[in-house]
Amino acid sequence: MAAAARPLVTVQALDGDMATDASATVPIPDVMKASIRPDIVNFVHSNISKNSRQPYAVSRRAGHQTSAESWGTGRAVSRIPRVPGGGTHRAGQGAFGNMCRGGRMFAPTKIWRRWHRKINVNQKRYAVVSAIAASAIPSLVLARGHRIESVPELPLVVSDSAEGVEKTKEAIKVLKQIGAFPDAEKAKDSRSIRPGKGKMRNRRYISRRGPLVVYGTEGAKAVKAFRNVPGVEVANVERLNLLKLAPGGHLGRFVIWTKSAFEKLDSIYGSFDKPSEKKKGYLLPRSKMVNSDLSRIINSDEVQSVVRPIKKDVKRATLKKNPLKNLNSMLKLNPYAKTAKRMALLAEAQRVKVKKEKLDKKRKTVSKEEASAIKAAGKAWYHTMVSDSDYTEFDNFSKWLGVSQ
Amino acid sequence: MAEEDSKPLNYISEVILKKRKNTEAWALRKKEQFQQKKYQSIKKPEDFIHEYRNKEVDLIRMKRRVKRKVPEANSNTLIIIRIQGKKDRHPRTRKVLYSLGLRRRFSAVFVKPSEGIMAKLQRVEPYVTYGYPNLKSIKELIYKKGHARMEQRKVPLTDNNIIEQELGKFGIVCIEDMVHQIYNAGPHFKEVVRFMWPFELNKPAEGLKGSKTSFKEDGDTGNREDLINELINKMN
Repeated sequence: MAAAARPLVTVQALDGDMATDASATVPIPDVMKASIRPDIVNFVHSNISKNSRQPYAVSRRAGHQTSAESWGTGRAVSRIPRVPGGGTHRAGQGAFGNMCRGGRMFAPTKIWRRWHRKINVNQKRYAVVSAIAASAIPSLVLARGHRIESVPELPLVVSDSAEGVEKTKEAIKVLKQIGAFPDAEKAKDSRSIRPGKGKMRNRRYISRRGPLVVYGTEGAKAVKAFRNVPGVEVANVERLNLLKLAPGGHLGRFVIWTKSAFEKLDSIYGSFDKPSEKKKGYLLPRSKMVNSDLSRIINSDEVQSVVRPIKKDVKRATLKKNPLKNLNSMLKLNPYAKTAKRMALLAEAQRVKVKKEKLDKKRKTVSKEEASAIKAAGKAWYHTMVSDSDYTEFDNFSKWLGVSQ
Repeated sequence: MAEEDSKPLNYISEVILKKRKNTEAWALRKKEQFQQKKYQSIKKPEDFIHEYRNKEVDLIRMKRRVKRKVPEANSNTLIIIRIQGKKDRHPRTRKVLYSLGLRRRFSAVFVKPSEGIMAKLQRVEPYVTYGYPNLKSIKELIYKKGHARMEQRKVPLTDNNIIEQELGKFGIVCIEDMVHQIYNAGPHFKEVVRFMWPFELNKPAEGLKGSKTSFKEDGDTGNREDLINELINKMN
């Protein structure tokens, strides 16, 4: 039942195994699905590799094994301490100073450096778990440079009969059967002389790394059979070394697991919710987001089916026009405004017309008869005034005043 | 040389020149304000004291004014415009202003001149001016600046349907009915005034002096009677 929940890996059969109809399978341990953290692997690898250093320094006495003293001034030479004595060309030579032949070095190195590093246990475990997870990804293993084109499956699990091989000849045959030998051959072909001074310091040759064989049974014979094949390394599943799982701090080592070793991974490293049986209280590290592809999550069917649909109708605030100037706005509010406006215009036109007629009437030229009549009336009025001005009788005033006695 | 046809002279239109002049004047004014603002960012204790004293004096004057005779109005409808009062009025004065609906400077409301309203106007006389609006002023105000109060939201009167929905049960179905109710102080005057948001008028150019003296004494405040219509025309 638990096997059905996780993907399965085929156990590769070897020569001499009992033939069965169905090939054996084992579930993939959870450690293969842990987070891959290249930064942690690189950091831990750098610090672990420092812990096998041995102190070295120049001798404390180097450059000081003489009783040289300065000659002082007055001898036309510099004031450096000079070797005493005579008779040899050593006498009178400069000593002690770092610029002198046979003198000491500047700031002589000391053995009390900080050679080793302390690394947190959790960090080391995180790095090992990351390296194991990376070894199960073909693209990472290929990117590291391993030849796995003829390997049937990754992670590569072989049956436990591989642990029983005793001879290197048989070990090579096993590697050829599972398609791992091209990687070992690549490592062998890459053997060359080391550049730099390491040649004379017991590190003369360099070569690539090949497959790493991980076995599960303590004291297995395969250790001696495989370890002398060029490029092949061997490790026990309970003591996996980060320097072998991720050489140089680079992820993606090609690992060959035996069946018993593969089955032990679950008890050694535990899972995401069940603690490990060998490492007290250890749980596999989990990333903050299982799937960090946020846009894919948002656009998935599960999310989009519960999201409120797009609100397409936008409500805008009503734009208010000035009805006193905009006739359409006025008519919308007051339809009678049109009639009132028309009546006002007509009344205005009527007023203009009436005024024009009145002015025209006043400006009309009078006819000749009317003019002479007006003139005669004026003349008559003049004569009346002249005659009335005699003042001989007082009765004339009554005529002017219009008062009758 | 003489064969060349004459081209019209290049000129800039008067409107653009005027706009340019206004823009430069505005920029200069803005610059001056910005420079002044630096010095006025800190409020001094004297300002606080001055402010509190003004409020106290305002209260004292209000108490004295209340003892006088309540003014009368000879019109069916009054329009009240708040013209000042921001920092120098007492909270009690503010309460009266708010009860009349005058929450902002240059806001205006129509009221029916009852005894209670006239008593309130007496209390806030230095901050408001009022008068007798004519039909033209009422009509233009409601058409141009009328807003309805719907669920505490300010909705412009762009359609008669808005009015019919709210006031249809009183027989008021269009904006002309509202004008009629206000001009004649009809039976539904109160409902119409409650339906409308207080008018927000513009600041009149050269119409106010900033004085608190009565209009009859050559000031700004108090009863303007029919001359309120000139002020409304400037502020609309």
